[in-house]
Amino acid sequence: MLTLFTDTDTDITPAQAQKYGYRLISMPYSHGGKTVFPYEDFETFDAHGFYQMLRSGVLPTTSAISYEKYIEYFEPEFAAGNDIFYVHFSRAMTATFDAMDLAVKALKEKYPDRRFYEVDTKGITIISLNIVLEIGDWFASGKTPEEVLSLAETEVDRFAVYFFADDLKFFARSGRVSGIAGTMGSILGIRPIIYMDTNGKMVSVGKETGRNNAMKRLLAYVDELGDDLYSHRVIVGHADAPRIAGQIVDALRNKYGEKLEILLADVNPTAGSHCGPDTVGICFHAIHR
Amino acid sequence: MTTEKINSLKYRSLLSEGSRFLEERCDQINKLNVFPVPDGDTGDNMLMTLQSGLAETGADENLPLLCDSLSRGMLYGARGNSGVILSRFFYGMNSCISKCGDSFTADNFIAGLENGVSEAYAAVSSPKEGTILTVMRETTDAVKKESPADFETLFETAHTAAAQALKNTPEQLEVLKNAGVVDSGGAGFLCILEGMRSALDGKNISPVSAAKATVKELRGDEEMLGYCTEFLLQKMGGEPFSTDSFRKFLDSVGNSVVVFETGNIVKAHVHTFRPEEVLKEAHRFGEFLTLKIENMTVMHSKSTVENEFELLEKKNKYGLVAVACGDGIGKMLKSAGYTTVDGGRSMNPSSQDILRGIKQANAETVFVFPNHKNAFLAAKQAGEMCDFCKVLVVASQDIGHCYCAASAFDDSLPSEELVSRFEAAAKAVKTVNIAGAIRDCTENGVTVRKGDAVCFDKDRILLAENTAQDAAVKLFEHLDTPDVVIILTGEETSEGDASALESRLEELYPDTEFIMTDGGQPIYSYTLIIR
Repeated sequence: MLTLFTDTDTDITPAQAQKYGYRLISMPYSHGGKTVFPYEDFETFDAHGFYQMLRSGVLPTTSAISYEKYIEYFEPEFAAGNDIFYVHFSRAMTATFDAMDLAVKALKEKYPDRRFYEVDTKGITIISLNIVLEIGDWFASGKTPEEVLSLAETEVDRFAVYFFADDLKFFARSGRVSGIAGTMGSILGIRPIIYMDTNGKMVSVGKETGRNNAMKRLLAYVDELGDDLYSHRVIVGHADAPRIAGQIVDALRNKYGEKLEILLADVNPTAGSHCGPDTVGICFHAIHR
Repeated sequence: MTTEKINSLKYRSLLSEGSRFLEERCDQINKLNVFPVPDGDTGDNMLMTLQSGLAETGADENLPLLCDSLSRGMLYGARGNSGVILSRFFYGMNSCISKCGDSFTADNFIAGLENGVSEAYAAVSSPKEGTILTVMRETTDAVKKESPADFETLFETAHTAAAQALKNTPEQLEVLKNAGVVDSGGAGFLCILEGMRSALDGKNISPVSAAKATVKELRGDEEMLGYCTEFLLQKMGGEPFSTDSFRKFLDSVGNSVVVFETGNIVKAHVHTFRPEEVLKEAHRFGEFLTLKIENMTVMHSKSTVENEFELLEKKNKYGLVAVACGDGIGKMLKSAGYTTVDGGRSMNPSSQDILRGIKQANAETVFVFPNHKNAFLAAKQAGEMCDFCKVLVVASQDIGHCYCAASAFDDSLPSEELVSRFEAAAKAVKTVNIAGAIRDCTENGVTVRKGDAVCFDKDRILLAENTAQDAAVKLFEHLDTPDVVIILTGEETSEGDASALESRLEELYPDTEFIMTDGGQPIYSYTLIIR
């Protein structure tokens, strides 16, 4: 048997995870001395409540989960004779996978016959979600783990994500975006446009004045780079900005019609702690990232 | 008896009296504002400039020393355009009369006036007639023509000429005529002359010690640490109080002593290691109305630590300094990367304040954004005084320009190119203020009634409506649809009014992004930065 795993940094909800047979690894965030494990410490993510808290000035931190935690997730599967296929968020953005590597190494020594497969989505939130769901589809259509790995080899880099944030202070604090170093600070109404490169890192590619121009630019990327759009999902993700996300969905509908499969997703709280409220992005199948 | 020579003591008393006259008329001068909103502060600025000069002087200084102290104090303490011009005027005059030995004659003084006028004109890049400059020049021309041998005649002539020149200013400058006011800087200059004239009889010697403490604090060059102890005491008819003996007592326990009494109130200020003794002594005479004790040793060691860090820290290539007013605006500019200098209620920092900001920016090249015409000369003067880094003053006329300029910043570009980029950024932004009118007027075809909300940009009145919210909505009817509008709410604007305005605008202009944020600025109910 094969057990699929993914993590909460991919924006997947428990309902979606259940549909595709994924088990969820919860990536925590902390504030006010309390650590919260998404979908373990709560059942439904209250995105509005969470981002309102950030708007009020709370700045949560995030932390890597431990070696022991990975053992807790994986060992029961190996012990039951199942192999593991883990589709996870970008290795380039965290140190948590070092702990996972050690845990997997130890478990493989104990269960030498078991296999551990992994796909690095080289992204986080909606780009990871798109790949996680795509891979879910592949398994559902009967592909083997080896076939999926081989497909992922090329397909992971064919999912592009472009997004803009409302307030650069969150990114500046996390230090996880390159290309914004030459600027001095954050300016209201000026939106840096950020994408995820093929190394799984966030890179700023310019800025737009005003939300409308920023939205137009995201849509222009779909136009310019979009590839085989109708055979894949387009995911619009937002950090408690349903109105803007809705406008983007409407614009996509107007241009590409009803046949385009569009999903809306809430940016998960752990990633949201780094991008801040009102961040909005689009992920789509592209000729390249 | 006429006065033919003036020594250092007399010169100081003349200026002290000039300062006192100016202080008495300060509010009137502040009100001589071309816009019918209460943001005029020329009187305050000129007074603070003159007081900063006097505060630098000591009673026992000889003439050259006195002139030097006066000039230095005024140049450092200069605020606002009129303040800067005044400081340059006195700098020019003092550098002339300081060469006259122990005292100067009327001829020397006239030569000083002439030099003062040329310095004052040189301080302004494009001098305009109908301003303080004209009043200074015409006054000087009149006394030069008369060339009196005694100071009584000189000041009489000067006073008449200055009053006439001031009266003519509305004929020379249309904005004054439209607003129905004379030039405020010229009026301040006239007050100083009046004070000097009245001091000639020797009866009036104004105390300058209070101003001295203020400026010493400003300059931060205290000789000793300990506790800065300051209080207002109401005398309660206990033991009889004597200012002199209390001052002696304070001198015995500390320094930077200031004591004076008005009616039943005593104000005292001292730096001491034993504040408890000061309080105990003062308590014998009455009850404290206010009391403030600050540990300057802690404050100083903090700044010493910071200074050490500064020495260790490598200088940045570029720094941005902005003059700002209002807590919210300050925060907003800081998050955009600026070091801010508090401009006070009407954007009038001293050159020294700006210099401090430049220092804090800790960079090899610092761009200074004055953000108001009032602060431009002080910024320029700070740049000239700065000897620790390169300073470039950007001709930014408002907060909106400054804020948006930060988005044009790129540290890989050379400084001159950045200045052009910053100035080009101004073209993409319009800043509009809305404030309550304090009098009726008609300007630019707009009829304003007292109490109306007036909407104006840096040059002119755009429209007037019953409420600030209506004025803001009306404004957009005249504009192309902008991409982004940042609405800074003033310190007295209610949250309810602001959010109602935001909803109205969002409904009317769905393609524009309105960002409402607390600017905390005085006077203006709203400042709109429109891109």
